[in-house]
Amino acid sequence: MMRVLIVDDERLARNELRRLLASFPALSIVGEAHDADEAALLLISLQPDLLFLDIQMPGRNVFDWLALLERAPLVIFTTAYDQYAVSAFEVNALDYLLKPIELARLRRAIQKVLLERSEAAPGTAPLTQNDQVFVREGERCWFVKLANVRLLESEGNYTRLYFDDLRPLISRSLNLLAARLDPQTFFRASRKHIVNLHWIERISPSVRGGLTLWISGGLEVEVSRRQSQAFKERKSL
Amino acid sequence: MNRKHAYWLCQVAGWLLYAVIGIVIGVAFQSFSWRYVAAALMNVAVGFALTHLWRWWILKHGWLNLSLRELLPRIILTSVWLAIVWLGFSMIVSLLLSRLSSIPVEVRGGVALATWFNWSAALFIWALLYCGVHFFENYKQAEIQKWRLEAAVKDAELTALKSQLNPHFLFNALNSIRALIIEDPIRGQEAVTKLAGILRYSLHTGAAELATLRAEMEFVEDYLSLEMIRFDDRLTVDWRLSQEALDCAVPPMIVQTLVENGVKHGVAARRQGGTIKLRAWLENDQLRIQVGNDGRIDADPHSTKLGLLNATERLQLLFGPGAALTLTEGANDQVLADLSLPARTLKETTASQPPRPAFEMTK
Repeated sequence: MMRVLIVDDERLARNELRRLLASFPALSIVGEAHDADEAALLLISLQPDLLFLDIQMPGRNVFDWLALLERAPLVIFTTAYDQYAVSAFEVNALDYLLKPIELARLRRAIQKVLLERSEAAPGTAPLTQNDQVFVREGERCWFVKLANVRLLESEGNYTRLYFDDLRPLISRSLNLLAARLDPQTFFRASRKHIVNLHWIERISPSVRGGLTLWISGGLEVEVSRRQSQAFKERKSL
Repeated sequence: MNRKHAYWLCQVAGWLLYAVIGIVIGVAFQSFSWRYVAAALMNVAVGFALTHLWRWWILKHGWLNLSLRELLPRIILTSVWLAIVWLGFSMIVSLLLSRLSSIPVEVRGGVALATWFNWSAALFIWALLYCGVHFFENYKQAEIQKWRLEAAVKDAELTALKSQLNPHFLFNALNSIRALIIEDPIRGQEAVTKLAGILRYSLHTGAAELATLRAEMEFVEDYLSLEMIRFDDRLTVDWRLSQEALDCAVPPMIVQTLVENGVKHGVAARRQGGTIKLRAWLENDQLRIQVGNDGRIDADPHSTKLGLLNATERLQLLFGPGAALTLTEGANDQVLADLSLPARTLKETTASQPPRPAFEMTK
């Protein structure tokens, strides 16, 4: 059973969605939120798998709000009319629905979600490669699956994510992320870098006595001497 | 290069060319003599001066604004007449030259006639070129002017389009109504009727320049009652409209624009919602309309204030300096849109203007 949270400031819009979702036995609506702040609380207490999220709500901008979440839930955006938001998310939004919502369109969106979620992880566990984060840089936004993040690079209180051919900043420190990321996949190479082990193409000894990791996409990361030792032990080199 | 420079360049170059051709032909048919070259140059100088004077005359008497039928006879007559003057000058010059060089000059009638004819033709061609260039220039200018005008009309149409119903409102309303149909079918039906009224008004007023404030306010009422369905108890409305104000004419959708703005910033963007205050009254022969909402002006950094700018522009186009629209921040977190325009009934405004389709809403 998939746990759904409806986030919309309009009562009638929430009711309408609730009514539409009644015909999907695979989903169970666990709660409703009027705005982003309420949704943030319910995310923690209810642990929903999927959010139906209205783009225009009073208070905080929903995209800023999403970018602050440690783990982005699966999200289907709903909007009455907002070409900007729709086009901004064409890149890789799970889906968006235009209100009034068409049942056939909703069915397609939910099928997409069900495919996606087979790998979702419980809320308090470390962030695995199956989790996603929401990244906003200026006017562009992405849902990024951690499996696609090849490298995380510290930039003060921010961290630069390398995925696809993009490298936006997120407003979390590398230390904070290091504590949350699954060590099975993510390896702390130095104070500056965390590497996704699945993306390493080549390893070579570095001039300083440590290791150099070659990550696909032409990225090169120096591993500190201490961490080189740990890396060798791990890989039983 | 401006027109004056262009004229001087063409005038000097053209006459030099004329001189060179004249001398070359003369030398080819007769034997070379300095006397002949000097005479030819003197003639060209006279032609240069005469045409320059002619230009002054053309500009002074506005020949360039004449039609071709008026212009052509003038050019022909002047060419013929100026050629005689030119010929006279030429003879005087020849006589002077002959006296200086003590070589006798014979003036033969046949040659004089041919020269007269030649120079008439030269002057005629000069005038044709001069006026032709100007006509071409004017034509181009007129064409550009026409494009500009067309662009301005397009702009105005676009502005009018933008002041029509906000699609965001429309789709949200449809969504609410769909939910309402199940929850409360009677209210759902009412809402559909209100939406129909709104659509009718906004479609019809596309053609009208002015509507009565009464029709506009009925429309705003429908609009607000739909928004009240959407926002539940987050939206309240406070009306105070004077009866005589309701008979005045306003540009359609102008109050709507202000109210929509108020709802967007003062209700939708605020969790606790807010109140829309509507006031209309007459004051010193001016119609005053106020739309107030809760909140502050700069609360929304993404606001482009496009709606307000369009409304202001429309007012200026229709009423000139007699109308004004201001947005102020009042005490205790209130934003006030203040609209002031000449108080006239629809009849008064249509009587002073050519009749235009005016729209009166009937319910």
